[in-house]
Parts: sequence; structure tokens; C-alpha cells
Amino acid sequence: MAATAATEQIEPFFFGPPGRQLFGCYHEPQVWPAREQGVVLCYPFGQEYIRSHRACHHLIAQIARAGFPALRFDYYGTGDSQGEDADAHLAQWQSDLGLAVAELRARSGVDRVILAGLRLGASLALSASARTADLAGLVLWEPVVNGQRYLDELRAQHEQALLRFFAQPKDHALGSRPGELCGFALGEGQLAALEGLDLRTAQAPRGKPVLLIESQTTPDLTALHEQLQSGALVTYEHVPSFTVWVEDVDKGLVPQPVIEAITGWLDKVFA
Amino acid sequence: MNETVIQFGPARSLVGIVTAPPQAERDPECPAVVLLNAGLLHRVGPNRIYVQLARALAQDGFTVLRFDFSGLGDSRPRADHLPYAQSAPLEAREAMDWLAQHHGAQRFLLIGHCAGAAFALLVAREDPRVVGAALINLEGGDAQWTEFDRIKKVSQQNARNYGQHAIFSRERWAKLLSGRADYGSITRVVLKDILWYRIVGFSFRASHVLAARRPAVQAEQAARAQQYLGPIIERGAALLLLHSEGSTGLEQIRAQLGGELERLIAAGKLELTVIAQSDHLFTLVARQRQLCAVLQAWAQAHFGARSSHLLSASSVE
Repeated sequence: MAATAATEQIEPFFFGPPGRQLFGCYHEPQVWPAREQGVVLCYPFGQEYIRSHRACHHLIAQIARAGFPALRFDYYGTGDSQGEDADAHLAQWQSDLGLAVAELRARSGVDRVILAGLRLGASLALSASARTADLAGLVLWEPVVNGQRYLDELRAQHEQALLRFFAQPKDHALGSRPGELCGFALGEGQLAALEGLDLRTAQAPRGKPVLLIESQTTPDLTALHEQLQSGALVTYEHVPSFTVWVEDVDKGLVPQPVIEAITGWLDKVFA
Repeated sequence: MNETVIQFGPARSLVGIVTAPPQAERDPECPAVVLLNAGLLHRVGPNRIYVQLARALAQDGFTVLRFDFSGLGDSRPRADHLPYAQSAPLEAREAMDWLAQHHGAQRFLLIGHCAGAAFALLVAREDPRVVGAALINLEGGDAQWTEFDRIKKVSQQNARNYGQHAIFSRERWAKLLSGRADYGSITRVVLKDILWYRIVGFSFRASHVLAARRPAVQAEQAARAQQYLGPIIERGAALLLLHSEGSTGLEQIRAQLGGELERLIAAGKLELTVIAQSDHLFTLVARQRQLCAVLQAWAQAHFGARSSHLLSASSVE
């Protein structure tokens, strides 16, 4: 019998060393025999994480229904993991991702791992791919290519949010290097890491299948596509849909066409 | 303080995180706290405030459970298709049952934001184990008020965008004077989205103010206060209404309860705190800290180890 959302097995747990406990959810593969590759999902950051959590859950659940053991997890200083917002640090999340990959392998028994990510999570997945042993492939869902432009986007969203206050905050000014954006404190380390983020210097995993998928074509994504083609086996897909990470959570939206496209690609490439 | 993941409910389908004080600092008399989902947001809460709050309350000696209702966050949808309005209160009680069974808790504080506040109110009304409820930005969900909230936000955002932001923008003046502006759009926004919506909003408010003078409406307000708050207040439970400044939810509560609200506040039966210059989701970090501080102070004042207002165990039996 096919698993449904009401019957599928999810195992939530903490993992990682004391003092850096991370929250993860393991989704058992829902068909047998299971695939030989597992999937680790890297969430977006900050408000984008909050708004896309439901979509990420749906994506990983569908991937598990396609037979892949799958894990999604919160980086240190995010979600249910230990640490405060201001402790979040992109560079240190690489080691968190390493812990998550090890956890997936331990739970599922697979060696080969596909890193998947949305927005800043996709940037992290690409950056970490070179140091991930037995990498099977990459799924990059609308990655953040340029950190400075990403910060500018967040600043514009933050300023829009301020316009919606019924009483304007008199004691708040962002400054040139903001200490918070869109509801989340930004530590100095995270801010510097984001300012320095430029995926156009990242190395593509040579000879590995990569899915670059988006719903809004930008010059940054086009440039990234060209760069990745030099080494990896890239599939580029534009799937018309909404950008769930900026939508109001209470709309309960899930970008099913994108989820179907990602699962379909995994199904085909790792048949 | 330690945090553990739990799965509970009849099908172990509900996922939650328990944040508990160190073993040595646990006080069995201290009520346990349950945080209820803010709308469709998962259990970390808006801007991860529930995580901050759970950790802060645990530092103060409270055991806190934040969890996802069925179909939200990591909790599986229900197989029985029970409507959300029924399943959410049921699951809030299951969360209390779990804390009773595993942490020996007999008394509970419920805290919820927005829809979570509405469920906290419903459960507090019906379950005598609840000795306190903090309702953050409670909103009614009534269609007329939802529309009022929408036009209020639209008119205000446009007034700011086309007002103070445009007046001081050289670029926008240049566009306006050079004929490159979309005059039709500007006219529509100014006439409909700002002026007309202001008139509609003013009329809506005025109709409630005028209605509240009628004795029949005042009697309805008193009956409503008794229906929703009476059972909680009569057993001596603590009740906190916490709103962002300008919150439509608070306007609605004032319209629905009328003078009863002020009477209950004056009698010390109900507390009202307004967080100035905040928005519905407490976007600014300083407001998040303020929110947590208010809730910590409220919980500590009523139920902390140094409190003189501890409810006796017999009053909740």
C-alpha cells in the first residue's frame, strides 16, 4: 500500500555533539527496495526558512515516497537546534551539514548522498559539495548566488515590513551593516559570511549530476548555470510557480510543480 | 536546561520539543507551559519567538512544551479527518496529558499567538487544569473584521508609501513632474486605497462605537464576556491579553466586550499589555525580547517560586 501523509514515518531527533545539538527529521524511504542514494535537505535562512518549512517538508516527504532515505535538519542557531539567532554562521553550517550527512548514512545505511537545498541552503549545498565524500549529486533550488544582493533583497523586505506597522518604530534604524533583518538577529560572523558569498567562485562537482531549478530567471542564476556547465552534468529547469519563501505562511501554499520536477529528476537520474 | 524531542498522541503523530529546567531546579508546584501554533507556522513560532520564549521560561523554572498540531510542522495529518477547530483543542489537551504523565504536571499555562491564542482561550475555558492563559494578538477571524484589518493595512501602507516616502524622494518628484509617472495608478491608489478605505474604516469603527451605546448591545457584550472569559476568571486563573500597538484584534475585542473589558481589568481579573510600535509578528528583535520579558514577568508574578499568588491545588480539581 502506498504511504500517505497520514501514515508515513518521520523520525524527529537531536544529533551532534553536546553543546551543538541539531534537530533533524529522518524520512524513511516509502518503497522497497530503497534507493542506493540518500538525500539531505538544507533549509533556507531566517524568514525564508519559516515561510518555506512546509514546502521543504512536502519535498522531502515526496522524495522519501520515491524511495530515497531523506533527512532535513536545522543548522545551529536556527529552528529547533541549539544556539541563538545571532549564533547562526554560514561557514560553521558546513560542519553541521557534515554531521547531517553522517547521521543520514548511519540511519539509512546508504553511502552515496545527494545534497539538496533551497535558497541559502542551496548555496551551502554547492559550497559543501567538494568536501562531501561519495557525493551522488546536487539539487539547487533557486540558490542565493550573490550574498550582497541577497542582503539587499532582505533589507528591502525588512523596510516593506516596517511600512505595515500600525505604529512606526521610532527606535529602529538598520544602519549600513544591519544587526537584524526580517525578524532575525544577524551576528557579525553571519553578516560577513553573507557579504562574502559569491557562488560564481564555487567549484562544480566534476562529473556529478546537478539540478539547477528556479521559478524566476535572474542574471545571477544564468551565470551560475554557465559556470556549473564547465564541470558538472547540469540540468537547468525553469518551472513556473510562486516563490514560497516570500509568501505569507498562512496561505498554506506548497509549490507542487517544483516539488514534482525535483522528484522527477531524482527518479530519472538515480533510477 | 535541556531539550528533548517527543512524539505523542494516540498515533504518536504529534511532534514537540520539551524544554525543561535542570533537574535540581524543577519545582513540582510550578505549572507546565504549552505553546500553541501561531496560525500555520510550525512550532518555532513567528521569527522563532517560541524557541526564545521556551528557553527563557525554562531558565525561570518552567517546563515548556511547544508542539505542532496535526498537519502542521512535523506532525502528521490526522487519519480521522477531524476538523481543525475540533482537533486542535483536543491535541492541546493531549499535550497536557503527556506533561502530566511524564513530568507530573497538574497545572498548566497556555500561551498562543493569533490562532494559537484562540485555541488557548477555548481550552482554558473548558479544562480546569489550565491556571493561566496568555493570548498574544488574539484575532477573531470574523469576515467583517478581517476585511477591516485588510483595508486598514492597505490604506496605511499606501499612505506611507505615497506620503512621507514620496514627498522626500527627489526621484519620485522628477518622475511625477516629467510625465513618466502612472497618473491613473496614483489616482486610483490615492482615491480608493487611501481615502476611500479610510472612510470605510472610520464608518466601521463609528458603527461599533454608536452600537455600544445601546443597552441591548451592552447586554450582549456582558453575556459574551461571561461566555468566553467567565469560566476562566471564576476559577481564579490568570488571563493576559497581549497585543501589538494598533492591533485590529484588540479593537475587535474592545468592540465585542465593550465596557466589560475595562471592568475586568480594573477588577484585576484580566491583564492587558500593549507592546508599543510593534507589528503582528513582532518582526523587530527588540520587540521579540520585550514580548518574552512581558510573558516571563507575568508567569513569574503569578506562578514563579517567589509568587504570592499561587493557586491552591484544590482550586483546579
